[in-house]
Amino acid sequence: MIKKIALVMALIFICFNNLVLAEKTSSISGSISEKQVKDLKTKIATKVAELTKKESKVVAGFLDKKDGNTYIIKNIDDDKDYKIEVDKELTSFKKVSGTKIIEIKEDDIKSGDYLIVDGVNLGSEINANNIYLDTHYSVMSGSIVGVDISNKQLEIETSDKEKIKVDVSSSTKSYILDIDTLDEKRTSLSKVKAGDLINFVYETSLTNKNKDNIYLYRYLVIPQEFFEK
Amino acid sequence: MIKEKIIAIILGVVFGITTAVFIVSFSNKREIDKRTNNSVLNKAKVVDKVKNSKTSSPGYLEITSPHDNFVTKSDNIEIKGKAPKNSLIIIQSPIKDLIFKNNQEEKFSKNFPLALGENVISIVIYNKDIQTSSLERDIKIYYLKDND
Repeated sequence: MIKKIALVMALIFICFNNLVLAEKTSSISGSISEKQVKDLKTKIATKVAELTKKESKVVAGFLDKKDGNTYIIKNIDDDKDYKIEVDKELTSFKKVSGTKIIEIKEDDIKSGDYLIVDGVNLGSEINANNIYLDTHYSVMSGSIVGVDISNKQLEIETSDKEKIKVDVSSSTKSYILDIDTLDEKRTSLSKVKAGDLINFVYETSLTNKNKDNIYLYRYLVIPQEFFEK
Repeated sequence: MIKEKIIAIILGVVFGITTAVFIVSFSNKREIDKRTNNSVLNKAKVVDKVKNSKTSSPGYLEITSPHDNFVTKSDNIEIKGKAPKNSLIIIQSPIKDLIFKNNQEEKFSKNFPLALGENVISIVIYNKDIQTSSLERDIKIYYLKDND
C-alpha cells in the first residue's frame, strides 16, 4: 500500500516537474521567438530604408492621364511616359508657390499640369511619396534674325537651326550684356537688332511644346559688337 | 632520306605558321589603328546636347558637377565645369543670369541660386574668335524641401 502511494506520489511529482519544465521552456522559447521577430522587423525596416534610398527617383512631366490611383506623366524633353502609382494614405500633394511649398489636395491636380514626382522606382513604375505641382520652363539660345517692335516680336534662329517667333510682353525680363563690364543691364526691344545673340527662357506647356505661341519670360542679348572688339 | 624529309616538312610547317602569325598581327594592328582614329573623331564630335551654329565648334564644354536631375535641399548649387580659356560663359535659369569669363584657366566653378521646384539651367559658352559659334549644355536641378 505504502509502495503504491509512494509510486503515485512519485508519478505526480514527476508530472508536476515536467509541467513546470515545459512551461519554462515554452516561455524561454517564446521570448527567444519574440526577440528574433523584433530583430527581424528591425532588419526589414532598415533594409527597406536602404532600398528606398537607393531606388528613390525624381521624375517630372505633364500630367497626361489620371486613372484612379495611376497617373501617366509625359516628359517632353526626352519624350518618355512615366507611370506613377499614388497611395491615398501615403502620397503627399504639394504645390510650389514662390518661395514656399504648400499642401494641396489631389483634386487640385488637373490634366496638363506639370508635376515633379519624388518616389520609389520599381522598374516600370514609380510609387509616389510626394507630388509637387510646378511650372516648366525651357531655356534656349540662338541668334536674332528679325525684330518687330510694333508687334513686340523677335524672330530667332535657335542653336538647333530652327526659326521661331517669340512674343515679348511688358512682364518679360529683358537684359543686354554690357560688353565692357560683362554686367547685364535692362533693355528694350528697340535696342535689340538682327545679328545679336540671345539666351532666353519661356514657360512651356503642352500647348506650346512645338515652340509656337511662346511668350518670353526672360532674355539676355549679347550684342554682336562683343565679338568685334 | 626519310630523316631529311621529316626535317623539311617540319621546317616548312614552322615557316608557314610564322608567316601566318605575322600577317594576322599586322592586319590586327591596322584594324586597331583604324578604330582608334574613328573613336578620336567621335570624341571630337558634339556630345551632351552641344549645339553648333554656323561655323566649327569653339572647343569643348564639360559640366563636371552637378549631374543632370540632381536633387537638393539647398537653395544654391556649385556648378563646376571646363571650357577653353577666355570663353564667355553664360549660366541662365528662369531666375538668374550669370555672366563671366574664365580668363585664368579652363576650369570654372560658380555658385548659382535655385528656385523651389525644378530649375532648368543652361550653360552656354561663346568663343570671341568665331563669332556665331557656341556650345550649350542644359541640366535640371530639383530643389525640394518641406517648409519648416
